[in-house]
Amino acid sequence: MKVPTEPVLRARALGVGYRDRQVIHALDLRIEPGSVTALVGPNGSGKSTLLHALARVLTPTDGVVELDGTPITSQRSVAVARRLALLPQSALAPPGATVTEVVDQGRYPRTGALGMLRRGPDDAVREALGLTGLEDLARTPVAQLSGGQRQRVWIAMALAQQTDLLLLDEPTTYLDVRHQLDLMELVVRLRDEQGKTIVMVLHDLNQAARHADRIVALRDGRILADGPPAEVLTPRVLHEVFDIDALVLTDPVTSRPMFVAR
Amino acid sequence: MYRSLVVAAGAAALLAAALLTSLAVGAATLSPPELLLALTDPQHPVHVSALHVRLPRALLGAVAGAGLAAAGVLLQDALGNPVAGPELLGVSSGAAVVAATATVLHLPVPLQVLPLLSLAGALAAGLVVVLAVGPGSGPGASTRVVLVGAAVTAACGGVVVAVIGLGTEGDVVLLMRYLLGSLSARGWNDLAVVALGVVPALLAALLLTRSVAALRLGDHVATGLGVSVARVRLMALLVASLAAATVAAICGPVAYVALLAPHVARAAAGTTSTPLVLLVAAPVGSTLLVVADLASRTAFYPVEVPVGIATTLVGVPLLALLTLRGRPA
Repeated sequence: MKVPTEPVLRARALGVGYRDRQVIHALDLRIEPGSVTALVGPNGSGKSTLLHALARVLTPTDGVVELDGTPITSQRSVAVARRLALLPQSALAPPGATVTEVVDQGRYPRTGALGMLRRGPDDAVREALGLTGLEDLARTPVAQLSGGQRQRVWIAMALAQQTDLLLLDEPTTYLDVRHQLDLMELVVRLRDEQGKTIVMVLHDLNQAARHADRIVALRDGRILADGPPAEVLTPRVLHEVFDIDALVLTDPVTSRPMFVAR
Repeated sequence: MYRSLVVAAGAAALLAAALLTSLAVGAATLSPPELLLALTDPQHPVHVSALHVRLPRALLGAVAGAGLAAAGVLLQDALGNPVAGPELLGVSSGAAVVAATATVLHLPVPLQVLPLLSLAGALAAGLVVVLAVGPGSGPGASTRVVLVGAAVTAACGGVVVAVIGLGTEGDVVLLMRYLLGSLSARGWNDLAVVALGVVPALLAALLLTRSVAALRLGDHVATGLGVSVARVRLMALLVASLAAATVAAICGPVAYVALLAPHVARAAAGTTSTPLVLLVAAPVGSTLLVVADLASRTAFYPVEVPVGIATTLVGVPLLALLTLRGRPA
């Protein structure tokens, strides 16, 4: 049995909404340090909205998000950016900017006002390019890259922030099978080797079950199931959350649960 | 990085050459040693013209050009709109309203104070646009600036035409000075006013560029990096307004320098990084305006073409060329 730890990130009675629509309702969530959490749920269930609120990119309508025990919105945004990096889905490729230039933006929270006059990419940028396999594309304009290559650029930018917390919104979108697997292995490695805490929105439930320590299943802005993959990936939960009739098997490679729709 | 510094140094050298040519060429064309003598020796026949006409005019072109370039860089990158320029902010039409009103109604305004009043008009127009756009972020910001700016410009234009209608033919001649961009007959006082606005704006722009660069990645990414998106965008618009308003108050509408200088800088330096683009665009903007002014007063000598017309005639084909070449915005 694990010793209970202080959550590094915590939502208390969190409500998030847009002008006329409440997306998240009175939600409580604790994220333990050094864990990989997958947020899953059907389209419109609020999982991305929850992730953005955890990253203080969206302001809650009710409740509070705490980072290290303090409300995240009361901390300096740059200080938060040194603790927590967000990979959003809505990143724009600035016309003309090269891969290195974009990844270098990840150093923003760690460089002073005159940091722009640095000589070039620092070690963190080079390491991030290496971890995402982008060395050969370093000088290529991002606008010329494929969707999957661009996705890796945004991931590298988040890594260059060198934060303990990584919040990833559908990080495997656009990636081919090889790169999806590479990325999931990178996530697990970052947890094991650097003790990083990762929260990611995933669409692929089997992927979540295979790589995450914990799955949080949302529907209509509420948590319907929360626990290790073996507890969440059950026919009952799959029916309640996704309206699917599923057969749950044991993955012969990882011994984790996996599902097949009937 | 190195390429940008080299290009910036090259642009500065070009600027120096343009300034020297501008000082040397005129009613009396001087050789470099003669020029030095004319500037320093009070007995020299061209002394007054060199020191109090040509020198402030050339420096005004350099300072105004740098200010316009900085405004262009800030507006284009903060709004994510590659064809943004201070025209969007309505500043020159705001300056024109004040100048027209004071001239036509013969308000008892000393000539030295009129530029300051025009500046107030220009800043007011810029502020109306910036504040009407609001701190609200998102891709809508760029569209809102375009729409509100067009509305303010149209409103000011209507007022100017109405006021001119009340005036006499003599007033219109006076007004030309404000309705067409020109550096003609501007002295040290005018240079001082522009420098007081442009120099702080350039420094503020330099400090803002790192955050403005992050805005190019989208508001969510920028927020995630710790940028106060709404505040940075508002600051960028205000600083651009300050630079553009001071230039518009003294020189009138000088078109296309703010739009073109950043594009030329990006193409020459081979980067779109906002801080580096600003570093290169400032001397490029200065050079563009000094050269355009030189051309405008020598091309049809002794008749002078307003420099705003010269920059437009050069700017339009250059912009078309950049667009057709598909230069990265």
